[in-house]
Amino acid sequence: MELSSIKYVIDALAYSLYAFLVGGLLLGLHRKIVARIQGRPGPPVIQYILHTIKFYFKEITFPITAGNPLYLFIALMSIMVWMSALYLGVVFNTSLLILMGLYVLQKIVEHGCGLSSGSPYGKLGGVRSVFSAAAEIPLFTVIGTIYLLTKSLIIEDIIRYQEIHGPIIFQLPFAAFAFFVLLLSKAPNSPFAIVKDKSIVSGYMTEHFGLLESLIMIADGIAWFVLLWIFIAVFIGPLLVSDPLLTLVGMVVLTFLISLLCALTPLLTPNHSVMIQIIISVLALVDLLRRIIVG
Amino acid sequence: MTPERKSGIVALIVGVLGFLYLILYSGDPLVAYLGTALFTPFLLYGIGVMFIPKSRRKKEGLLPFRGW
Repeated sequence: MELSSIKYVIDALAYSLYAFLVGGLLLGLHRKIVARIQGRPGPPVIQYILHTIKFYFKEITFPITAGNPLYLFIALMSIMVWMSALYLGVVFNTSLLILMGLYVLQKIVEHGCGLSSGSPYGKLGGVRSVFSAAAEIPLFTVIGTIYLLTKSLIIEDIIRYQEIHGPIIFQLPFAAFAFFVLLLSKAPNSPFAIVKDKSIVSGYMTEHFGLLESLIMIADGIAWFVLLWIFIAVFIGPLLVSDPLLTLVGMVVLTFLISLLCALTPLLTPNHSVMIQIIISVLALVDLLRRIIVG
Repeated sequence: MTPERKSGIVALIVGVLGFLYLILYSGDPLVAYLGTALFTPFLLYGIGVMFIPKSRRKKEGLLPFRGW
């Protein structure tokens, strides 16, 4: 037994807890801001965390229509995906490509969650999740554009590049916008949140209740933290990411902006949502091609 | 035993064995971190299932029928 292994495991668990608490509080803040803009008092900021704890102690049953073991494993996979993204991105500052791969795995989680439950609402949520994969195309082009500028996809190198040349957000504003749309599409109640549209109950999470819902909520909290951190690290850089307190301030500001957009825009229909995302993808692609041709 | 509790016990065993392996044999930080990401959900689920309250229903694990 090595003491260092115990230390690594404790560090990893502490990091996850921190990410979940911060992500959960920010998602609570998001609900609060949306409510205030709509003239409601809204739930307390800690509501997301309270819900997660409450559901953790609730009874579950496997629905008769559910396809086990996928129905159960997909909730565990959701946490695995975002904890891995947290460690590879935030702790080890590895490649953006790995993070993109993990983000695509999240689509498998949403799809599997919906289809394994056997519920028509869940299935529709899963199918819509595949539609909204259009939101990932800007991610490809954003990564290409960043590579052209920094000649590296390792987050550590990108942060170092910004130490010398200043924040990338001023050099690649459209890439930052495209990534921001990706963040927006992941936010609850956003115009692109067709996956969890209330017209299909809770989308892919309809049949995942109690303990399993709590596990997915833990993953969503960590996911929110990771996505905001990646945006700050890749586009604003050491200015904010060098100090944890400043990173938190950046996350709060980003959540505030996203909440404003979520509160002031209606939920788009699936075809409109996908069309807008495709238009942004095409514009991001044109931006990338222009940079390749012009140099 | 209900299938839920059975799956919880299996998950708990997988989680505990995984963490034991990580603590005893992994020296590399990347392996330790990613291993934690792999086995924590099993542990969370396993512990969570143990917290499911005892039911007085005859068919434990099955929610009462609430109509179509």
